[in-house]
Amino acid sequence: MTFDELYDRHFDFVWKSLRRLGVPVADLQDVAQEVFVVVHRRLPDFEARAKLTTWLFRICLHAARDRSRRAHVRREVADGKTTEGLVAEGDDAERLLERRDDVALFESVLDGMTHDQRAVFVMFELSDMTGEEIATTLEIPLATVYSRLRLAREAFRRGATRVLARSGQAVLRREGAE
Amino acid sequence: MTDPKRWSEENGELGEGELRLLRAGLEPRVPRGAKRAVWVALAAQLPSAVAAATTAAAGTGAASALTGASLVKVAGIGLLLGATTMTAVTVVERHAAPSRTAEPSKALAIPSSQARTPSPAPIPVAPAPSAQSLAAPPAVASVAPASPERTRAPVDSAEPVRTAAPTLPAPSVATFPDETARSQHDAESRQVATARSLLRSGQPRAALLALEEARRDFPNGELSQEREALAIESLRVLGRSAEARRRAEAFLARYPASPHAALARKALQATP
Repeated sequence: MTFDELYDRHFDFVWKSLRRLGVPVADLQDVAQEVFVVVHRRLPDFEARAKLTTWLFRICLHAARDRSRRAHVRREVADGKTTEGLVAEGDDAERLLERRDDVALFESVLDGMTHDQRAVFVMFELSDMTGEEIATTLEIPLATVYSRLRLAREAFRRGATRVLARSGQAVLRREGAE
Repeated sequence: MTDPKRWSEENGELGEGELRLLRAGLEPRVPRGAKRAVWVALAAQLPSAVAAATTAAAGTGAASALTGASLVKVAGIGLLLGATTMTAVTVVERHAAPSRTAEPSKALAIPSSQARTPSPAPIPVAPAPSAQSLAAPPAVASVAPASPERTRAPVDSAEPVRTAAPTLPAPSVATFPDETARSQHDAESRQVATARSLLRSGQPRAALLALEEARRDFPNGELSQEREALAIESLRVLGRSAEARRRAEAFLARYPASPHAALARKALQATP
């Protein structure tokens, strides 16, 4: 596969993986660019027996971690509440707002996980990777994958309960004020 | 050791709110313009020699993708991007920095089906995109070549991004005795349409989540047949043959004359 073919087919995967791994909206373009620079450099060494998305996810993981460490130099450019990309066929304004809220709530729940838990949760629940693939990607034992997944799920449930309750209270307050 | 079931596969495992949040996390939301903008930045950053080495190593003769016509198109990206939105312009501005230091001697071809289709109209040859030309609004708006549509546009084309309020759905043909029924029907339709769109765009797991959400919200909804047919199809695509078969049989027993029965029969034929 050539670089341009890979880019065409997997750009969305890289973008979504980075976002799910907690790269802020403001930094996504930069980090995606960094990922593809690495991909471009390493593509000749990629071994076809490995799964391409697993390989890509690993590069995303490193890029997201690097970005997190350099968080203090983040630009204050983007608006994290942008609705771009959320527009789908048949959406009306109300539905769009609801979805934007849900996405924001979902991300805030993921933000409550540790980096390791989040990576496993994203790979398993959102990226359809198997436990073995996750273990290979993270270079950890399978049992550790399962244990992180269990903790991540607990964190998700706790976080979801918290943000949904808060969001429900906010709605009630809004309605009460009207 | 075997993997636990994914949450998206377990009916009833998640609460209503948790399910909704998980589905929000599954939905695609790559902004229009992002793919092209990152590519432009890459084209400026990566030396052409490296690009050539990569394609040669891959051994697929992708040099054809680096044809003059494609390069001309890349040169025109500044104009195309400028014609999109302020967001896209901001993005390019942010990526302008590396292009100032790198040698933008040659640009990469646009990696898309669009790049492989014949150009509908000649685009004037322009110098390689500089930070200035990319960031500046176009003096003359360039017409974007139409790209063939898949289920969703795979490459963000130069079509204008909707920054204003999204368009409202087409009014329903059916009439309803009251507004509540209409609004329920609309909401159910939206959920089922979302599931259908997710399935068609290769996301059967997300489709199942959307259908599960619709089932909870409208257990006796008017679209329950279509919902179930889509669920059967999603299961089949996911390779969960036994479950797809069981539900297809139940569906056909209950709705033998349903307009969606064909989908259920297809699932039965496809599963051993």
